Amino acid sequence: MKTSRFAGSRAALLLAAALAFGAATRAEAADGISLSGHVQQSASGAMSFSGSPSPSGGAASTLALALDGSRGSTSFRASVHFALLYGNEAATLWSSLQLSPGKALAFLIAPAFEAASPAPETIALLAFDDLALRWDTGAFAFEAGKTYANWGLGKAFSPADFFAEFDYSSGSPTRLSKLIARATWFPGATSRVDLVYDPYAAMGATIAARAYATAFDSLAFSAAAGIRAAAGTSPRSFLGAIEATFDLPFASPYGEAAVVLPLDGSAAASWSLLGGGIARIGGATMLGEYLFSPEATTHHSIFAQIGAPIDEWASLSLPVLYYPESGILAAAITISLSDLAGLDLGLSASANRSASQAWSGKLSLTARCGF
Amino acid sequence: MRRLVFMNVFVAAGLLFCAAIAGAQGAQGLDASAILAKVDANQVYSTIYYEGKMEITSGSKTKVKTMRAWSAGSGKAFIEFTNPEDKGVRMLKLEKNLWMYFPSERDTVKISGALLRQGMMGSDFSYEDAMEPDDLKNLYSAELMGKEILDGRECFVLQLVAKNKEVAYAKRKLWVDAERFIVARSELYAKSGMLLKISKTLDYTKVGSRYFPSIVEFSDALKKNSKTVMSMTSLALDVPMDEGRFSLQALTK
Repeated sequence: MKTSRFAGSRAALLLAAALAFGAATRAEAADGISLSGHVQQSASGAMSFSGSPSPSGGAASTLALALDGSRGSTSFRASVHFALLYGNEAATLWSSLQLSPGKALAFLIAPAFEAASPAPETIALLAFDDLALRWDTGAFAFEAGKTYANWGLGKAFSPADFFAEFDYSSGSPTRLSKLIARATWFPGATSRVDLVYDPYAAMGATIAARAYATAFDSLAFSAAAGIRAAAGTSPRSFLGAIEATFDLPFASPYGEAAVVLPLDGSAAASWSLLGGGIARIGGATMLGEYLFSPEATTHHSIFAQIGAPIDEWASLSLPVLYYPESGILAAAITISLSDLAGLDLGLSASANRSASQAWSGKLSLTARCGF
Repeated sequence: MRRLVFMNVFVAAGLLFCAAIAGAQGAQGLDASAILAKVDANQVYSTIYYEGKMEITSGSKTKVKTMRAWSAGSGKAFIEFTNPEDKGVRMLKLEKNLWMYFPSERDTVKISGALLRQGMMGSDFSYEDAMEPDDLKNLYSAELMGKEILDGRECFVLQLVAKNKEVAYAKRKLWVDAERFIVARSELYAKSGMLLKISKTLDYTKVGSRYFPSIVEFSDALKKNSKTVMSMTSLALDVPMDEGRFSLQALTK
């Protein structure tokens, strides 16, 4: 079942790529096309403290390219990155693929990924990050490809985003792009209604609609509803969610509530609540989120992050991800320097505690040059 | 959150440009309110389009950002960055709401109240600056303090006090060119009297009967060795503009 789904995904991805690059070719003499990217080199040293301390090292070289263009009412974006991973950088990728094999559908990887195999010393990787075409007509927009639904307000958790899949590996959570189709109606300047279909969602093919609007200059809210197809042992389910954020002078609290209701009556409804907020004190920006999911394997999830500029060119970031029940903890401190001799530099130290209470640490240095 | 810390946009530049617009008229016998009314009157336009460049200097380092901007009145603005590092990043202002669009994640973020005081892209503007209407006469009570020569030109010196607490800066001191009614220099103060921001008009261009500042320098008085210079490379006033430009659809397109 999984194999055929992934095969379909790969075919759809290649089709999206062909359409995007086809559009790029046609758009060359039209409204505009641009190519941008960056070269990045990183080196890291890690230490595992389970049993006898075991040090390891690694490196990664990355070339990322993004092609953007538009012609009349059609626009596209295609972005890929090529990476050579060595040592613990290769092992980290291999472990994440073992946890989420679905990620491999967007990769061309050598050696080929085998979940049961140990991590190779070196990995060459070509990843399709974003491949999407959009067409606007009147107050409607249609988009298809590997892109982002971007529902919900949560930065680290978002039960109201039925399509979200987060990557926490860098310390700061990021949403992963997915193969989706979307139709959007813009009934007003500040409102939108989205209909999104994700045929390859890990939890089952999902189709859902979401309405977003603002009121009173400081309130933004949305409501969403959808259907998730049966997959594996999960029955066909109704999905519902609401979200809202309210602006106060120095803080912006936000919340999400979501429910999953099996339609065959085989199980009780499950629900999740997210509470979060952004505040600014002095020069520091603080973000905190708490997710409560009583029916899920993990009931409590916490994320917090502080970001502060050191000066105009350097900044500090401290993200912490914590699951109290299992004791899993990931904390990092990153100093970023921008435009230093044409390079953006990042120095990061992180500490992780696994479910088995084993600690590990990692120190990494990254240099990036954009073009 | 990181991207919010390093946000690469500003509407403020455009709006602050507009705050220094003036026409060439005589000024004899005018009181503070009349002078401010003339400054405001010269700020009125139906639409404006410009291409701009922002140079952010801190110590010995300078970053350059370029952009295209559209605005209708003081309530609607749309800016698209064109420099390589920020290409495709857009900002939409609709009255008191502000959204940003990040092309790499195809994500639209509503800038929350807590972040509006944050400097944009390390510049000397804050989002709050961008949200401030440019209708000074309605926001402030004015008092004429006298005349001074500034950079060789005669200027009225006005002291402005905010009429209500919602205004970002409780007090302002303006040097208004007595002939052209350009705001040649502006100092922005907190209620406590602390100096927060300074702007200077370095050059101007004449568009029709109006004088427009073409190069303006802004500095945050709380930062050392920091300034932001905004310059216009092209400008069009009262041009036909699609109302759909100022919408979430255009922001994400």
